[in-house]
Amino acid sequence: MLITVLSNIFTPSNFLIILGGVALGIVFGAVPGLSATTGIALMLPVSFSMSDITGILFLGAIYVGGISGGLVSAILIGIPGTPASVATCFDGYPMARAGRSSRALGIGILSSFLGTIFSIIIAMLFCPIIARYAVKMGPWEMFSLCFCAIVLVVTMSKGNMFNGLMAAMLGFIISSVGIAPIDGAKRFSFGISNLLGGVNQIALILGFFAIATLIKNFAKGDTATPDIDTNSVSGFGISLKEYFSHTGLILKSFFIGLWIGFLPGLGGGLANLVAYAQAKSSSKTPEKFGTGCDEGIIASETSNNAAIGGAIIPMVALGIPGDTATAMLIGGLMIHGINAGPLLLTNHPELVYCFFGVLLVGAVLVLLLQFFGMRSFPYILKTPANYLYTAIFMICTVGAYSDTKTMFNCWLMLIMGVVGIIMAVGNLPASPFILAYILGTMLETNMRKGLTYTDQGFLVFLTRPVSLILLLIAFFSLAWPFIRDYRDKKRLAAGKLSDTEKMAQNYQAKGEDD
Amino acid sequence: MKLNGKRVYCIFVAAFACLVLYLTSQLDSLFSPASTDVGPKFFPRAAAIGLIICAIGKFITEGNAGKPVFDRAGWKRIALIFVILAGYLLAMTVFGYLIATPIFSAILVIAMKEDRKIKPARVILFSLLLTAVLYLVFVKLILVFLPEGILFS
Repeated sequence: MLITVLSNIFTPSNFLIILGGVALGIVFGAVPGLSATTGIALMLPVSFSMSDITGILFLGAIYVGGISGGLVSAILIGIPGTPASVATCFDGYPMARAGRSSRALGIGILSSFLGTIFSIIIAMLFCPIIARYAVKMGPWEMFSLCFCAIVLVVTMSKGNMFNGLMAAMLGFIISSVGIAPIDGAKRFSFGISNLLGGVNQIALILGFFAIATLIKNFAKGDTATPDIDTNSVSGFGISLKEYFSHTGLILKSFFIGLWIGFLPGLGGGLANLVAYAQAKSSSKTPEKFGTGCDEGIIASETSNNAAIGGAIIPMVALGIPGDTATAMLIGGLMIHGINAGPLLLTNHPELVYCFFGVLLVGAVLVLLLQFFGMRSFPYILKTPANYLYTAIFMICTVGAYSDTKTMFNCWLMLIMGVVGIIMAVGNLPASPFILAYILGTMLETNMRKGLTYTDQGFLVFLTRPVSLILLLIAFFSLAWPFIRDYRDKKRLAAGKLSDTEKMAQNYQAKGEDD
Repeated sequence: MKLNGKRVYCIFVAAFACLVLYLTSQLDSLFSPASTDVGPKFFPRAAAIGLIICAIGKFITEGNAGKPVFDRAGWKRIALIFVILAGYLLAMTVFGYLIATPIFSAILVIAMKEDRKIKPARVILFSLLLTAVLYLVFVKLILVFLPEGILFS
C-alpha cells in the first residue's frame, strides 16, 4: 500500500498538481473573504477531469494549504484569512506591527505544520478502527448517525438555533429535488430533465460558496487593498530550541484542536478560540496575551490545524463531514462516483491512503512554500479585489458549464448564489445547509430502507441500541443550548464565567459561519 | 408586534415552505410502495413542516434583534453584480465564450473598482489574458468545449 501511495503522490504530474494545489490553497486561505472551502469549491470542476486519485490529491492539497494560509493575513494585516485564524490576529498582528512579522509568521508556520502532521497520523490510526465497527451498522444506525451529525452541526452553529435548523431544512428540501430513492418518484423537477438527477452539486457549491461569498464581500465593502510593511518580512525569526520551549502548550492546543475538529460542524473556527483562551487562562503571564506573545500564535495555529485530522476521521470512517471543507471533499468524491462512508476504506483503500498521504506531503509543502515564499505574502494580499473576484467569477461560470456542458448549470449556479445571499440576509449558517444537502439522500434512503425492512414503523430506530444512543445524543444536543443559556445567564449574573466560556459565547454570538 | 425586516423574512420562508407542501401533495410514486414505507412525500413534507416551525420560532425569538446584514448601497452592489453575471450568461449563450468573456471581465473589473484607479490598457490586457488562460485550461487541457454561441454554432 505504501508503495502504491508513494508512486501515486510522487509521479511527476501528480506531484506538480499537489504543489499547485497547495500554493493555490495558501492563496485562498490568505486572501480575506476567501477560504479553503471556496478554493475546493472552485476547483471541483477542474478535479472532475482528473482520475479519482489525482482529483482527491489535488483537493486534499488545496484543503491543507487553505487552512494553513489563513495565518498570513491574520498576522500581516490583522484580518483572519479564514475563521480558523481569528485568534492568530490577537497576538500575530501586534507582533507584526512591532516589526517582528518574520517571528510571528515563523511561529505560525511551525505550529500549523506540527498540528497538521500529527493530527493526520492520528486520523490514519483511528479511521480503520472506527470504520471496522461502522460497516456493521444497518440502515437504522446509519439514519441515526446522519441525523445526529446534522443535529450536532445545527446546535453548534453560531447565534439562534432556529437559524441552523432552518438552514438544514432548506438543505433537505434541495436534496429532495430529482428522482426519489427507493421508488424513483420524480420530485420538484418541473419537467426539466436537468433536474431529474437532483440539484447539480457543482452548481450548488460554486453558487453558494463562491459566487454568494464574493458578492457578500463586495456588498459589505470588504474588498479594500491593505497596506503592509514588506520590509519586516524576512528570515524565520525564531529558533527551534526557543519554539520547543513551549512543548506543553503545543500538546494541549493540539488535543483541543483534534477533539473539536472531530465533532461535526465545529472545526478550526472554534478550536483556535478555545485553545487561545485555554493558553491565556493557564499562562503565568496572561497580561502579555494580546500584545504580541508567542504563546497566543502557537495555541491558535496548532489547534486550527490539528482540527484537520479531527475532521478527517468522521469523513473517512463514517462518511460524515466534520466541517464545510470536508463536506466539499465528500462532494468531490461523489462527483467521481465514490460514496464516502464506512465502506470507503474497504472498497477504495488506495484512494483513502493517498488522501492521507497528500495531507502529510501537503503539510511539508506548506511549510516549505510558506518559509521560502514568505516575502511574497504581502504581494498576494495586495492583489486588487476587482481583478481577483472577476477571475473567480469567470472560473465559476466556466467550471459550472464544464460539469454538464449545459448553460442550465450556469443559471443554476447563479440561482444558488441568490439562495446564498437570501440565507445570509436571515443569518442562516452555511454548515447545516451543506451538510443536510450532502447527507439528505443518505438520510432518506436509510430511513425508508429501515422502515421497509421491518413492520415496527419508526419504533425500530429506538429498539436498536446504537441507533437509540445516537438519537439520544441528538436529542440532548438540541436541548443543551437552552440548558447552557439558562446556566450561563445565571453565572454571568454572578460574574463567574471563565475566559474560555466568554470566548465560546463570543464565537456563538458573532461572525459568519465558515 | 412590529413587522420589521426579520419578521418579513420569516413570513417569506414560511410561505416558501407552504409552496413546498403544496408541490409535495402533487407528487406520485411510480410504484406502489411497501406497506411500511413512508413514500416519496414524507421527507420533503417533514422538511417543509420543520421549516415552518423554525420560521415561527425565529419570528418570536429574533424578531426585534440586530441591524440588517446589507445596507441600501450593499443591495445596489448585489443587484449590480447579479445583473452583470446574468448578462454574461445570456451573452455567452448568444455570442459564445470567446466574445462574451473578455467584454464581461472588463465590465466586472470596472464595476468592482470602488476607489481604485483603472488603467484601460491593464483592464483590456487582463480580460484578454483571463479569457485565453481559461480557454487553454478548459479546452486544451481538460478537453471541455466551451459555448460557441447560438449565432456561431
